[in-house]
Amino acid sequence: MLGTTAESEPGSTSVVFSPLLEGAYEVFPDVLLDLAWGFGWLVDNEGIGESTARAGNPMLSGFYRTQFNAWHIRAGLGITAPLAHQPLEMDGRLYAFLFNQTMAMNGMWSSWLWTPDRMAVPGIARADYSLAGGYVLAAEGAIAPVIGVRNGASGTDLLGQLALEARLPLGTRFELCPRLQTVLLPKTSVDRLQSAFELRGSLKTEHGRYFAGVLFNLDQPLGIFSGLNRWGFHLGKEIDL
Amino acid sequence: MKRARHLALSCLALFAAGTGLACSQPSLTTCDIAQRSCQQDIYYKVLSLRGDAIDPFDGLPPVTVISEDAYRTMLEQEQASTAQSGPNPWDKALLLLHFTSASSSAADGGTSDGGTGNSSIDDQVTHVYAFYDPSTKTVTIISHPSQTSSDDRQQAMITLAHELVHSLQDRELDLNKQDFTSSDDYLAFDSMIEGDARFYEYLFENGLLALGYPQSDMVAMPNYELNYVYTHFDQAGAPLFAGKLLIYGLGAKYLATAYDSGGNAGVRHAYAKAPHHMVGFLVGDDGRVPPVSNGDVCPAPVALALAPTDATTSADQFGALFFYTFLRGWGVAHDVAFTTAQTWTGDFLRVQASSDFTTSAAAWRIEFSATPPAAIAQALSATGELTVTTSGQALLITVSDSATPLVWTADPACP
Repeated sequence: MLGTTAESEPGSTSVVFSPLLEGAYEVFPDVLLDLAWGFGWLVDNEGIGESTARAGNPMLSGFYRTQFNAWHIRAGLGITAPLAHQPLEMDGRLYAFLFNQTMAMNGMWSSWLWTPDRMAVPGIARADYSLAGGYVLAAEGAIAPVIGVRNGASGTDLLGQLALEARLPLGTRFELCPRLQTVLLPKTSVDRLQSAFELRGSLKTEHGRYFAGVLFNLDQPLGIFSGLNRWGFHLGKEIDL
Repeated sequence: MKRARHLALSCLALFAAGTGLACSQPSLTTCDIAQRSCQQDIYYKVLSLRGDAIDPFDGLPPVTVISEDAYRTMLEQEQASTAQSGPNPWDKALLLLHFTSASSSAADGGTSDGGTGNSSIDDQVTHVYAFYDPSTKTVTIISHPSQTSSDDRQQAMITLAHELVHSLQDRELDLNKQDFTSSDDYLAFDSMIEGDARFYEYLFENGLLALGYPQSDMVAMPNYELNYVYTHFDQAGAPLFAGKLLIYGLGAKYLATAYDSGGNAGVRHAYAKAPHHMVGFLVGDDGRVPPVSNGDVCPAPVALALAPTDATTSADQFGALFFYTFLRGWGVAHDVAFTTAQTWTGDFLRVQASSDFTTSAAAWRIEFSATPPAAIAQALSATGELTVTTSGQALLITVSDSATPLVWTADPACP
């Protein structure tokens, strides 16, 4: 998936590209291994030569999945490697901006993939319920202890996230996927919840299912109505396993 | 039974991004900074002004509200702690060079963001609204029950905005940094820290008070501040404190210039390219940025009669800003002092004291990219306290309170 966001303000425009590479391996029909690793690239009006790039935290997850009538359920456990690093130097502000914008464009969803100098052990679960006509309702959630490992990031905090989404077929190849998500932020945050709405369009082709979507943060701290006005645009290909 | 194994990868798509709309900046009304909701509003406003998103692990820092009496006790304890430190060669040497005056000391002032540097504890208790302590990563607000007017509250909000910038900086770079090579190196770092906080304080103030400065000309505000200090230098305290006062405006001007040309992105990059010597911040009205050398310089001579030891001898590089304030302290006009300081390429200040600290001496060698004007040597030697020698593009200043003239031994490698 490629996430991107742009911020334009008096005198400057900053664009953050955030590719998330994800691969899944079916060990058994009901057991999956998943590896996700994100990156960030900040380009602003200072030019590409002055751009900033950082790696996120790779996460390895194991999932058990099962099917029961119209229900598809999967649950698993992941662990991140704390490769995302923000040096406390004079260029630290550029790195902080890149990581924070990347988390913002995802509505803080799975922020442990990006938060620097911390590792996490997320427990993840998802349930899909298929209705007649190809409609699908789904709920997805995760809870993750996040542990500071270096550079002033200390202590353990608990993050949580919950999303509700639907797949609404429009024709045989296209689906509209509205999604509402809420993330429980660390206890140090002024506002403890960040909610966001995403609308995705998904197109099925002979090479797989591709999607494009736009995410709007809804409330403080990042909301487009009363907060810092952060949003994200997502492009990618779904994993069909 | 043969088991099917599958591997799937998500793919990347190329994307050309457009630009979003201007960030909506929440409006702010006058409020009491002792209240949590007010602190949060100011915090979000500062984030918005800096163009930042938010680090979910570092929200509003812990904020403590204390009384004026508690703050007074804190300042008195700090002063007592400083007074307990033993004699050092700097105190008298700085007095001889007129960097400090008899009515002020190195321990006085410079510890708050109130600005004047030589303010007394009474002044600080009355006028300091808040401060950020990087060692505890907390903001302390001083409650002033008698200051409840709208103007007072707005000033308090502006101060809190300044301190919250410091708390944000503390997550991006190390405000507890100690490995400075010289006073000049420290001042250059501090100029970025305080200048950054001052610059966003300007933006905050501009919005809160509707001052009307266009965001495309934010350098006007630090220019106004700097020109006020330049023209009222006698009110800025002794030269050592005046230098510490000027770093606010000079750093703010450096970042405002970057902001005018490239917005917050320009500021972020200007941070990464911050000068390591104060000469890089001495940008005059003409906008010319002086070249920054590596600061290497010939060592200043030594007075062997004072039997130099580690306890009684010390050396430092004071840099172009302190050279400027030094000149102003000796009566050199702003234009001459400033343009000469802009040609600074390095300096070496050696201070010495006798073993019983009854005799002190200082030798200061400053090198320039051009020969300093003769008016400078004349002004510095006018009272007879300083001995000033011009050698090509270098100036050597010596001073001592020794009853008998000292013999200065130069480094043989120096011209």
